Amino acid sequence: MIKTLKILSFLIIVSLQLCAQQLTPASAKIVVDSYSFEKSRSVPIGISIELEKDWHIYWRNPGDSGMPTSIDFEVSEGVSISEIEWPVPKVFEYEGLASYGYDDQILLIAELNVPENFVSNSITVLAKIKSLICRDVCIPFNATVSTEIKLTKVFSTEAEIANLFSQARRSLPGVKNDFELSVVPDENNLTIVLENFNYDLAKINSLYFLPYGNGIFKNTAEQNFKIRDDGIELVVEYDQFKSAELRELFGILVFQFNDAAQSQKAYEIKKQINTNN
Amino acid sequence: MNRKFVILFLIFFGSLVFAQQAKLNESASDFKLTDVNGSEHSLSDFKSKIVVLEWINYDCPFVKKHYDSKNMQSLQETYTAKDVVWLAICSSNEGKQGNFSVEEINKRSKNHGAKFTAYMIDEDGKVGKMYGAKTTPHMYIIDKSGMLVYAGGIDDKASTDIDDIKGSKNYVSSALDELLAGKTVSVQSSTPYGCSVKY
Repeated sequence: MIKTLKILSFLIIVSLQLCAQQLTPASAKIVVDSYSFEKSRSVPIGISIELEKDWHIYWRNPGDSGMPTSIDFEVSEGVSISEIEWPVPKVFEYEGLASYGYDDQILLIAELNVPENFVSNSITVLAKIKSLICRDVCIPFNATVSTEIKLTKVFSTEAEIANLFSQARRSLPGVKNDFELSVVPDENNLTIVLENFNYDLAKINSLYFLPYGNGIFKNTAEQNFKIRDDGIELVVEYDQFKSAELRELFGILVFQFNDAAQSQKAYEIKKQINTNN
Repeated sequence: MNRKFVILFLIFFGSLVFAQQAKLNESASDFKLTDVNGSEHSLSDFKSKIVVLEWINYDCPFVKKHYDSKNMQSLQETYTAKDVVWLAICSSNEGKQGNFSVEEINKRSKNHGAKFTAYMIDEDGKVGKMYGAKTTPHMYIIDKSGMLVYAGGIDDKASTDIDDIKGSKNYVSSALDELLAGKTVSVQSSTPYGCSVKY
């Protein structure tokens, strides 16, 4: 009788856990990209998060609502891990509010750095994900995922995973290197001036700045820009209740082009703000 | 012709009033809303009092964090006892999360032991948009002279974890303590966090 009750209890617990997993409209796992220790002592990993239709998860700056997605890593002693690389987010705008994040599937890439004197033939990686996923309602999505990576001199990942990494890397913002940037702050706005811009300015359909920090700028992708002969002026409004003085402009500029591919390009920019800019 | 002009002028003027954006260190925009029990209240009814506006949605995980922990009720009780007026405002549109029947609102409020002065219904979102309310919760404080002196988050830990409340800096209690001591509010704004207001 007691043995039967114990088995029954176990089955109920397993069923409830399976139900919970099925009811959560998101799942996460760790994936590993191809690497070669002959080239560098780093192993690229990614946290792959898949979301059911109509659900989204947030960027490092969630925008007007939501919560930044955060990942805390624990890795084998002696191994270090880089910061996460964030693909350019989508902008979800509704009723004058804008949030920044991702839907469908997202891969957040980081690099494990393995020292020369690392003796083990495997690395354990544990990732604690804390996030919020939303549709018309929001629910916390907290997950702990882990994996053990057996180290080899050369590793080739599966094609499907290789594609995930390629896609994610293509979605990363580049570093500004082909235009000059200056800023003109005033009471209500900041004007970002881009000069010597090596693109066909006439093909720019949309341009907006997404800051990494929240609370200073109004969150929106609808930002006014003006094409000049020698460049572009982009006006970014401050938030109605700007929570701090702007000391540094740090975030991404997103360009959308009206070319055949409706392509998008983004650059990370970082600039100190002073009255002489 | 004159009558049409007057009507157009009134519509234009009225829309300007509603489009007015609330600003820190300026007079808080007056509004009139009906509470869950059918009584009308205007902000101007509470002249010469400190007023807290708390944007609410009982089903939002961030609001649940502060209510399940009794954090919000504790603030409400502490400060209404010191003659602060505490208005919870729900701007959830019909059919959206947080828009409940009167019976459900009163049941939830009673179960939580809520101690706000009134729970106000802003179903068309006019007051929410007037104040730029983005999240639930989103907190505002108006001082005794009617000036908006705080707008932002309840604290500095944007999460849904009850455990984060203890170690966080509560901007609302800090600002209220300063006002009650006759001082100016030192931190007048912070980034609000929560679910989007369901306009």
